[in-house]
Amino acid sequence: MAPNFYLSVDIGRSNTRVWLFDDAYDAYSLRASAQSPSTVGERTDVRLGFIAAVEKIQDETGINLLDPRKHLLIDSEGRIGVRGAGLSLSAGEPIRTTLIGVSENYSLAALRRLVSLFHTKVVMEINLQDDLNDTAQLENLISSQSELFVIGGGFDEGASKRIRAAIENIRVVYHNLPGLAQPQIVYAGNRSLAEYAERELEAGPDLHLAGNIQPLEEQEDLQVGWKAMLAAFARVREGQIPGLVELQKQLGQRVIPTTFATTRTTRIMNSMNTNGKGVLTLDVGAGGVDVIVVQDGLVMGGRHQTSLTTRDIQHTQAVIGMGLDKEWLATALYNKQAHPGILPATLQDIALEQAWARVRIQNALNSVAEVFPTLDYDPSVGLRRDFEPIVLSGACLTGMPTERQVFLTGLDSILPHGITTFVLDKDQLMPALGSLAAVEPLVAIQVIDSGIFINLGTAVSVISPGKIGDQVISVEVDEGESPREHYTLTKGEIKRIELLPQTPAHIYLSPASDSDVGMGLVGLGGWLSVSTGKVGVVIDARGRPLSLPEDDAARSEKINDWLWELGG
Amino acid sequence: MEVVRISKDQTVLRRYVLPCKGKVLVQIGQSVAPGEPIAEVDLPGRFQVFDVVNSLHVKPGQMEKIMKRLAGEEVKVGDVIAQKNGLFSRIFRAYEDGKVLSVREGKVTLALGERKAQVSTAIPGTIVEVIPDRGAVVSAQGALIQGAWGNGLSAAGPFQVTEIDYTKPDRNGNWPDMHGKICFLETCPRLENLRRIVNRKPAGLVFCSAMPGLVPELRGLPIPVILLSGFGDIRIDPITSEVLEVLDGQVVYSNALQREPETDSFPEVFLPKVSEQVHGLFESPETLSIGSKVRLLGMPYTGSVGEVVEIPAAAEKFASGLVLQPVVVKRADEQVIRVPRENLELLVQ
Repeated sequence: MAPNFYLSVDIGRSNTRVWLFDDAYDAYSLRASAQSPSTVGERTDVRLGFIAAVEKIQDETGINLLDPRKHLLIDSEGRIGVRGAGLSLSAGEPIRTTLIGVSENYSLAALRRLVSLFHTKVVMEINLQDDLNDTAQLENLISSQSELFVIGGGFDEGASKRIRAAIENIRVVYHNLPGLAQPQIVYAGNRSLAEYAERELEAGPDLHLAGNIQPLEEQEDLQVGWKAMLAAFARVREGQIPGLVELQKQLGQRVIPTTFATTRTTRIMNSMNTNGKGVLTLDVGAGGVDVIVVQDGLVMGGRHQTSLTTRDIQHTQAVIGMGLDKEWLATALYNKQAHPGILPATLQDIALEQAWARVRIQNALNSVAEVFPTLDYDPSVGLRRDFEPIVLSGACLTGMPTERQVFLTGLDSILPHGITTFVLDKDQLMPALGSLAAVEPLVAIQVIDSGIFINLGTAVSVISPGKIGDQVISVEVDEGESPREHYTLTKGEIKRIELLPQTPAHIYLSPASDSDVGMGLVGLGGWLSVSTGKVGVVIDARGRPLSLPEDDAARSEKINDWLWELGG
Repeated sequence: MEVVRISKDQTVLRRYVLPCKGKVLVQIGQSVAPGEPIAEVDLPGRFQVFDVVNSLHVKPGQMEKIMKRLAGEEVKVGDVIAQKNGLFSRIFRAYEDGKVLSVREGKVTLALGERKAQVSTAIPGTIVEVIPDRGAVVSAQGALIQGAWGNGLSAAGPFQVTEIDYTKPDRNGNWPDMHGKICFLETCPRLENLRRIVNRKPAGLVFCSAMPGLVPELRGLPIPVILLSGFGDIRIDPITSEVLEVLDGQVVYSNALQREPETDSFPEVFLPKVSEQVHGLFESPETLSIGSKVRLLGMPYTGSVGEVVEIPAAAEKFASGLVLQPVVVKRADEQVIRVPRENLELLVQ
């Protein structure tokens, strides 16, 4: 029987990527992938980049995917072409968004969390408790030049007067400003006002009604707003990107934000995860960093656009593993900003690339933590919540020369606590699987299950109040046949334990009485089963925050020593 | 790999559109001068939301009775919008010409006054395409230098290749006259001297490069600033230098746009002129080949130019440890180097 094919498409700022999956070997697996420069702009058609990428896959596989008109051959019965396709998009400027809520602590904070996965830029927030008269509010709404208005707040059956007044003002903006495209409106507030909003706004397909994301005090459910946000996202992008409506029609799918697609895959991984710790995904691209966290039923995350500040330059200088002149470093970073496509050619370049990735990851985690305080992240102390695995993705990480460098970049920027495993999404499949999950969930589940993500290794972080040089942990490694090995680490050390390939190992962790290795209690140790990863097991006894010398040269040497300890 | 245009004779197509629907003021084939409006839209000057119920002390049910104007009606200054009769009559009048936008929920919303939003061409040329309701595409021919960084502003003025002896005081004719000119200086000087330059009121500044520490200052200047090659201490390359000579003394247009190659947005200096050669109306796609002129981007070669002498088919490992597609380039100083393809800009002359 002929295999079933599914195609996933992701349209980025620079490149349009496509992935072809099939079940030729019973379970779904990645058959081929290709990319071509994106054609997103007012004077071009997004389908050109898509066609160019699909043609590369046709050439590589010999599978006919396009008809003579260059349309995707799609047939849900699987007779020709592909059975289904997914479509995600990160190209385009962030959507200018105004949030309107009845209070800062409740509705506005929740609305920020709601919009964070949808490539938005909050350009205005209107707190209806502020003493802002109707005229001033209207002027603000107009001046924001928003493409999206998101209204929230008010518990169900709660007070509604101020929300009604705001709805009236949005009605005026919607019907009276000669925008290029009509703004989209998401209503995610008091449910008793939803019908009123629909009647008053008269916005037809530009109004997207969601459930109340805060139906009761102390209760928040962002997921009831996702469907409406997805519809609004697609409507905004359809009005901006020539050819997108037609491409959606061909694929039989509406476009979703790349960040949201990655979120879906992270959720699937979390549901397949039996350890109950939650999954963290970091996607580090040239234009921005996506952080997605799924844990205990919560979904947190967002996209952090790359920018460059004086503080970022200082921070990069502080974490670089090579003694580089400050002026050189700042010059290189500014030139990289001007030409994001530059690739590292020299040792200095790669050291800078890795340091810059750390800074950007920390900035991204920090910005997500500001919107989601429960993330429990502090840049100096690290991420205190437990995650396993941590998925590393994006061109800036997958393009590093060695897995050890990726591992250390992840470890040093996230600074995890306890025990975790890092995996690398070498084929950048996270968004691809996420956009297909709505079409055929089995593709995502089986591809994830096939072990397509590279197991980089396990990190054991030892947190101890002791001083540098104090003994914090003893480790015993049992790999079956060979004699057991023993290691002792003092605070400040990092140790890589290489494991035999294809051999599951057991490691006994014996922390000092005041040291925490994430086994539930301070001082508590135990056996840990680990599978072989590219890097092995890394015992990180450096503590939190990392202790680094003040002197630039000594600090760089120290950071470089850590990389050498991991194998260079 | 990015494509950048540094040419003595180049077709330039620039699109000028309103951010919203409006009226296009030009036709295909029409010649336009810099600053000439391409499209415009009339927008309300301001808005007013008047709470009729609370201000006139009426019940919501009485609204229909006291409203004198309906939604959608035009109003003149002084027109009565709402009036409550009785012992103490209360009246709400329009304080400016405008329109009633809405009468709902006990409130009336007015759009008052008028303001015109326009989009104008920054370069002289000919209209080659009209974009209905939004604007047009202007085609022009001339010398063009696209750069690496701009501060977002634009201006026009005589171009001047400028040399300054900073050791001399900027008076008594020691420094060249810069007033109203677009001045090119090879290197952006340190902050103190930069401010001395700005005090002499140039219309715009073009540098080959600037040190990163000056970026906040350059970004905040009230005149357009363009860095042609990027950041650091970069000397002007011979290809750009030849075009600069053509610009010298001519009135040029400096558009210090932020660089976004994906949307064909570059900071650029443009000198319009009548071409001896007839060019097409489309900017043709360019590809890298043996003999192509390129500018190098990565350190330590940033800003230097050369010619492609070989494009090896196989990827190779660079000192960074990455395996990348190489291009062999013979630099202007005869040095032959291998660089990743992504670290090149293809120069279109």
